[in-house]
Amino acid sequence: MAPTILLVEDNQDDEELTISSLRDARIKNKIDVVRDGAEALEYLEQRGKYEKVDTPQIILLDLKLPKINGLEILKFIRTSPMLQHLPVVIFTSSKEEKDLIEGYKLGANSYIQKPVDFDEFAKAVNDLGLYWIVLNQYPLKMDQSSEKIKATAV
Amino acid sequence: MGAARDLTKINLDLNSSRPEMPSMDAPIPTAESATPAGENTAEFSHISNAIDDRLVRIYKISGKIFFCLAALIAATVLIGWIIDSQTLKTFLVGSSSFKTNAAIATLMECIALYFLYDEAAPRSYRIAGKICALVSFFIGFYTLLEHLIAGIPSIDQLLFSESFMVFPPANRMPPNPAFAHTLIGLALFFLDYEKRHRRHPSPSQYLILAASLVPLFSFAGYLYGLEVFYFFSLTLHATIALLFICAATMFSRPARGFMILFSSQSFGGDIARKLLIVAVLVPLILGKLRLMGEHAGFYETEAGVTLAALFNIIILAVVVWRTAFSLHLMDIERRNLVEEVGRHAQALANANKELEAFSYSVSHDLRAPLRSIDGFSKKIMSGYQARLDDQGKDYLNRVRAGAQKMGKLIDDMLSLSRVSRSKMIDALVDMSVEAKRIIEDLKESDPARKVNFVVADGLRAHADPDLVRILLQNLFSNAWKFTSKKDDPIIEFGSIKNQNQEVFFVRDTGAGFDMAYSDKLFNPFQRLHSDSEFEGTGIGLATVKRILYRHGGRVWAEARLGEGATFYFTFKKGD
Repeated sequence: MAPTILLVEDNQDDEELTISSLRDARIKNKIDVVRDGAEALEYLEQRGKYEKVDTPQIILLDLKLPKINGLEILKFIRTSPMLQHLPVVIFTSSKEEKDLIEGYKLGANSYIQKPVDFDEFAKAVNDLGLYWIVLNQYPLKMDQSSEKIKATAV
Repeated sequence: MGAARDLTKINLDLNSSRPEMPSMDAPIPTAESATPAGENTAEFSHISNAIDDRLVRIYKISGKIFFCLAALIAATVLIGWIIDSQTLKTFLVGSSSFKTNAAIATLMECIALYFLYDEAAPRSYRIAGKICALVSFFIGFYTLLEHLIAGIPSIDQLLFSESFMVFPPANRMPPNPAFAHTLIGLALFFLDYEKRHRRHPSPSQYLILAASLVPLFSFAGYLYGLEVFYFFSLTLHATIALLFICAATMFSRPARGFMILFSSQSFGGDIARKLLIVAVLVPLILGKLRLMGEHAGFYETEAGVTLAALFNIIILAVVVWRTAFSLHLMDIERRNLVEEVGRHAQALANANKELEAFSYSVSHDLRAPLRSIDGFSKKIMSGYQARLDDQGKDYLNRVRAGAQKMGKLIDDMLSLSRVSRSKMIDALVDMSVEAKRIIEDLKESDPARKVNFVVADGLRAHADPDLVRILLQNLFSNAWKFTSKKDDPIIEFGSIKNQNQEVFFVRDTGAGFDMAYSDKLFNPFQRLHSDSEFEGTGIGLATVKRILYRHGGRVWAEARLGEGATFYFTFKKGD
């Protein structure tokens, strides 16, 4: 079962461009999209309408989101025992130094600035996808190991 | 003292790190008002901030007049000795004469002043002046020795002899003018000797002040009809000549030590100039009046002294009150101004914060739609090629080009605003090293290009390292860009010395520009080439100018169309 990609993105144009670029890069995994911070949290905690989803293999995180912003989501992920190991790639328009610093401080795995030029954008997504989906290794079931840890901790 | 001055007329340097950008043609300041090289004058330059050039000129001209008059007096006296005219030697009052050597010493001092007057005088003048000063010193000092030690060979009658009087020793000036000439000779010899910064009084100023006590005492004596001290008396014209010399020497350096106060257009300067006159005249006049009254028999000594004391008290009290009051008013206004400044600073800080938030928004919100424009145009291009004719493809390409250009503009604008907002650090930056790094990057970006780079070593400046990097990046990438159409171009980075300043330059043998448009060069978004010739947003040089402006420096350019351009820049004066 191929792992899921979670795209946290509120802009529908960017969503369209990102997904089509991933497809152009021949990445066939399932891509789920959540449009704001609250939904993202719901998804990751597998609550409500997201009860049946699997834990994603990679999260592409935009920063400027309505309600809860990207950095706060990142913080939540990194402080939550079930989710803290998830690879998170910040994928944002912002070039601001403080976002970079804050992102890495909070534990992002990577920070990629979305290029304005589409050719560059497509290439970035292509490289990004190839690296994190194809090249990067991730355990199939994280839950197994954490269950083991819980057992031994007692 | 009058009412408080209109403070709006006073140049309060509230923001000393942002001087006005001087025009391209403004002459670099001469040695007269420049600070001595190598001194850290940053904190104390404020003391001389209010020096008024008009006052400086007045002092200098007056000083010249004074020593010319003194020379005239001395020359007249010497003529008197030559033709043996008593009138010329003794002038009007008293029975002593203006001694030959004293006249010569005075003349030497005038000549010394002539040579040394201009601070930027050539070496030969300075040497000539010092020699004359030494002669005067020698005359004074030796005469003092003659007074102190009996029997040493006398120089008094070397030129002329005096048979008129036997006591004091013939033609020998009394010890007090001898003392004065000794000090004045020394003062002139050491006129430009400064152990510490020029805001401190120089040794020569102290010497002149001490020397001036002699003619002051003599002058007062004349005023009060003092006849007793024959031996120590000077003729009236000798007194006046000495006063002129002392004044001329002090006035020759109006921007140093004690004189700074009197040359300043400030609260203190104003008061000092007026009050000093009062402080000198009032006691003299009151004393004279009191004496006159006594001699005329209106009252006895004790009564006279009491009356004089009373008037002294009244006058001083009034003067003190008026001075203090005007100072009080100025102080109150100063406090108001300080408060206003505080409020402005706060408003500025708020505006800056808003600007930062705005820039952040801009960087995010403007880029996303641009990406959509560019992305979907491309998708149409690639996915719907068959259904588009050439016209359609062309239009879509222009849409993409527009989006990309806009992206660059946004980036440049943000960069420019960051340059204005960022906090500056002061560090010693090695620009040669930085330049070499930038050059490596440029070469990597296009390895096929052959450009001859010449970078001088050890180009250093006191500046903010990040801003300097941006500055150099802009200048070099411009040079790189504008030499792209030439074969074997040269790009050079170096410095030249202009008076007290190091002027850096980046020179290229590229496309150059027409000097007629040089004043537009540094305007934001202003370009002198079309996009088809060379791409660009027109922000690079505006950024360069902004960076140098923040450092208190300046930038200017010279070029020849088709041959190349040179961009000169300097950091804060005094580096």
